[in-house]
Amino acid sequence: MITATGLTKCFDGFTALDKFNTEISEGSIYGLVGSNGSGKSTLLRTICGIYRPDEGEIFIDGEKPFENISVKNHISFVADDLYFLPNSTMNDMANFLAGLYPGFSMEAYHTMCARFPIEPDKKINNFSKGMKRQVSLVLALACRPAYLLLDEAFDGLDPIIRGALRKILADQIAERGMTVIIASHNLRELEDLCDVMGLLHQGKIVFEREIDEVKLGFCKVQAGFRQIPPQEVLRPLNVMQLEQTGSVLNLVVRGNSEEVLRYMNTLAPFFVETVPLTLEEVFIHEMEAQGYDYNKIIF
Amino acid sequence: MTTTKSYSNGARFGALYRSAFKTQLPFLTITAIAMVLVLTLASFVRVESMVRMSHITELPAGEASRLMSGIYRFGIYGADDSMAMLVVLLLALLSMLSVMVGLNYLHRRRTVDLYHALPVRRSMLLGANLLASLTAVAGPFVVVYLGTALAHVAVFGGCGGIDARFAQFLAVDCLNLLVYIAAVCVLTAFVAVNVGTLFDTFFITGAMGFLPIIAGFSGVMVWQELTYGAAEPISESMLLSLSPFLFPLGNYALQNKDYAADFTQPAVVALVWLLITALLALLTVRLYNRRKSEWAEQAGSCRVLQITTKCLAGLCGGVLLFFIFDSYNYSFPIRLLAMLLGSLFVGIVAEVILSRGVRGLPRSLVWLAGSGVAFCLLTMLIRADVVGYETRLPAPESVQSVTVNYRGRFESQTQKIKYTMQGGGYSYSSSDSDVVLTDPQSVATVLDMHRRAVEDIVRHEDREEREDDIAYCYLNVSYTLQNGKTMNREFQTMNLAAYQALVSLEDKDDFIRGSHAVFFTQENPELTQAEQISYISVQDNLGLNTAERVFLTEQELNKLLDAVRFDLLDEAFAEIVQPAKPALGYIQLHFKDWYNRPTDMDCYYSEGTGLVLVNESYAQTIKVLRELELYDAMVADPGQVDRAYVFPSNNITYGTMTTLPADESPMYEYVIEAYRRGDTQYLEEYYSQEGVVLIGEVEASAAIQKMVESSKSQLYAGGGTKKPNLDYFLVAFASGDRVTGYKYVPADAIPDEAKEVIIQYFRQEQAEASGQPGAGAVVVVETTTRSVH
Repeated sequence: MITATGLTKCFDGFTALDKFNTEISEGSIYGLVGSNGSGKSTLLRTICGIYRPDEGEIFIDGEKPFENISVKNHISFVADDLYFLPNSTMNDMANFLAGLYPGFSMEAYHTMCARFPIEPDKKINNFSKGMKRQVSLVLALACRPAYLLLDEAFDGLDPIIRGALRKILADQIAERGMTVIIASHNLRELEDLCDVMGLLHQGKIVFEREIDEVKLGFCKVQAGFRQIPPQEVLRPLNVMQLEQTGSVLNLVVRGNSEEVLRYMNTLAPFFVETVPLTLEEVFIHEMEAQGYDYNKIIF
Repeated sequence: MTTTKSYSNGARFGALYRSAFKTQLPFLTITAIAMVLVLTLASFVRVESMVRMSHITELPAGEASRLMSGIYRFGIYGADDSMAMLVVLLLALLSMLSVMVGLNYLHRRRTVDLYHALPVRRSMLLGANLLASLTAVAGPFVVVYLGTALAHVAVFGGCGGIDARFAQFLAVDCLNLLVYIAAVCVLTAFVAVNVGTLFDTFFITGAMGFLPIIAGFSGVMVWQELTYGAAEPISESMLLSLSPFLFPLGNYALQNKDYAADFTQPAVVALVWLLITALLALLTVRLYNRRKSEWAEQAGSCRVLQITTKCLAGLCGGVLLFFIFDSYNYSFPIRLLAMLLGSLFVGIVAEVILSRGVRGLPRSLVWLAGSGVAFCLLTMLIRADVVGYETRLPAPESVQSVTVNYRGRFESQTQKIKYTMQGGGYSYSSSDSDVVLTDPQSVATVLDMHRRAVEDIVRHEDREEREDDIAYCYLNVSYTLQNGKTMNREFQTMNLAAYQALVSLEDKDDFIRGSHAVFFTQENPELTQAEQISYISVQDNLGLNTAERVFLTEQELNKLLDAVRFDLLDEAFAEIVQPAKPALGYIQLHFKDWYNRPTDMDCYYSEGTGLVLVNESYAQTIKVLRELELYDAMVADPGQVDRAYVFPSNNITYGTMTTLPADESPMYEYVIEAYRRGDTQYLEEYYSQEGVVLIGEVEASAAIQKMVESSKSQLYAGGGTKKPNLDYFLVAFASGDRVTGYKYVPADAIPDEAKEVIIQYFRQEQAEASGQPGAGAVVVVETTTRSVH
């Protein structure tokens, strides 16, 4: 169990984590999403003891991680910007980590090496970005951590490797109850992988829900009217976005799609349908609700 | 199956160390190669060249082997070998770079992510990396060092194998350099864990290593420059010992001391630095535990180190500009302003370098201006002598003895320049010009000089104005007080009256005994003994006749020494200051070559230290010289002097002086030769810068005779002002082509024509000094008085 209470971390006047609170239960895959600079990487680094919080506290199984070997023994962190020992091979790195992590399994390491198209006795310097990412994931998993922290871990991996990794993660969670925290911008990846998703904005958690709840909690509605009803009638719905094209209304509504559909039918449309939102759409709408205008950035 | 291992701290440390050591392998290789080149090869080449020296073959077998061992010729005690210094500097550079590479993970975000996420304590991480660096540099050094020592023993058979003393030397030398490596490594680590970039580590480590010593030297320089009579507050070797980058070089500064017989100071310095290094290592670990990982790649992360570096750099800049303006004799307020501006300028440069820009400049300016003002205030306090250092004089009754480096009329001619042989074949030379005075009257004379000097202080900026009233004396005075304490003063200049007060010391027995130490073996039992004297020479006053290489029996020599001792003590003060009796000539003792010295002697005099001027009042000496049939050499026919060369300049001499034999002070032979050739270009080129001016040649025998008769070896206490005292002029007498002697001749004995030229010369010099229009270049040779009849 990871518990953060009032966690604050500042960098030279910039607040990366601002009184951040969360609880991440064991055996789950927690997806961290958020805009650039929202504090995702800072949170991961604080969890694994690289950063010491300025304020607040973070506990891993009831212990603080900073300079705490007994906690760090069970945490593997795969950073977004990877580093390997100079001129090392994957085997060198494995030997290095085997000397430091009590849970490191050479057997698991060799098994995973066989499953990935990597040559463990070749110098990592010569590997591609995706191959380096595979190396780091294999090494992290070989440490058999209780907590695996992945920062943009799937960046640069091809779909086959991603599938293989998903399988390995699922196996280890099932086998050992491993907790995985993944920070990513790739919401499509998280959508398929995570149990819980937390959205960070300006160092704070905007919302934190189970992924099914997220997906079911929003819907897109398209309804056609012979005569467009006044907007007041839509008030009972938690409308996040409303667009009118001729006699057709397009709405993004926070709520259960069945309930929304039931209400819309009471307004006598000549047709109405609801479509679930993708995580990406949820992310954008939630961020816009927080005042984050994507149009200004992208267009 | 999960691999089961013992995860003790030792196992983890081993894993970290092995990983860190791999990155240090290049340093291990470079250190090994560098040490073989600058230590092994250099020392072998050095010893080989010594073996080829002819006098080695004359040494007794044991002596030769000790000398040839050459073990004292490398390492930290290779004081006279530039390669030894290179060894030290290379070790510092390699140690610093090695730690910078080892701890570079702190200065990159992606490496910090890896290392700080590992399940190890930071102290262990730091320790493993630091130990890897130490191993990479110290390991090959120790192997090469000890290997070289053993190779020397094997090849040259030095020291008869490794005896206790040799082992002691190796232990101290090796310990010194190992502590040095550790100190540099730990200092670099200390800086590395407190800053965010590799560049800052390099820059601030360098600053921490060198700036304190530069600041220390600067402080000492300012103190000595502004405080009249300021003695060196801290020795050069101790000052160097304060710097982690330079403390082994402090041993080089010891080379004039008897360190070869005693390893105490280097051992103490090494142990003190070991303690400091250990404390700094603990502090480094403590600070590393508090270090923020996010400092990686951030410039200016540790404000304390940054501010300290900038302020120290500012101090150095301020002092530098202060002394630049000082050299141009600017007034004190101007120099102070220069110090402030120099401090600000260099501080700003340091700020821009450390902050990679000017964004932080407004905030830093407060610190820089504050420190600059503080330096100026401190300088003002020194100048104001708020502690009364300048005017402090010991009470006469509290002085047990006083030691002065004043040697009276013979100056350096009676210095105890000695060579000392030490175990292991090491020899060193030192000039001991100190005279210890214990007679209350002598002490009173020195105190009188001191009082006069501080009552009318000659400051640096006053020198030009008071040109004719200054003695450039370089006089050291050390009072030993009844309570066991000492009080030291060093005077570079003083008013002429104060300096002339010392002349009365010529009449004091303790001064005569001290300044002619070679003749007074009772007071200096370790010094002159008849068996050390190889031969004597006797020369007349004008240098016309010389009895050279006179070998005497021990009995004859002791008889002569007894007579000289008696006459020296018996000589009347008036006869010294204004001799009524003409000078006859010189007796000079010549000492055996160092390699022919008696084997049980460790200390002896060099040539030229036993010189005495004999005049007609030296009755006992004359009697013995007659008995030895050497007196005739002192009888000269002044008619043999057929030329004289007049010099207005006597500024090569300092302090009191009397006439000297030509072969003891071959001053201007080349000038005279060039003059004879009429080679004015040569003279202009080589002598104009030195201010050597030859006024002209005198050929008239009457004028020459007058000058010869007047040159009675009067004591001249002019003090060596830049503008010579117009009462006396230096005259070179010659017989045929040979310059036989230099004498100070009173102005009234100089031919009028020559005097006219001298006066003209000084007028021109004054015009040049005042920068008046029409002042030309220095007249090097004036030939208008080529012949004066």
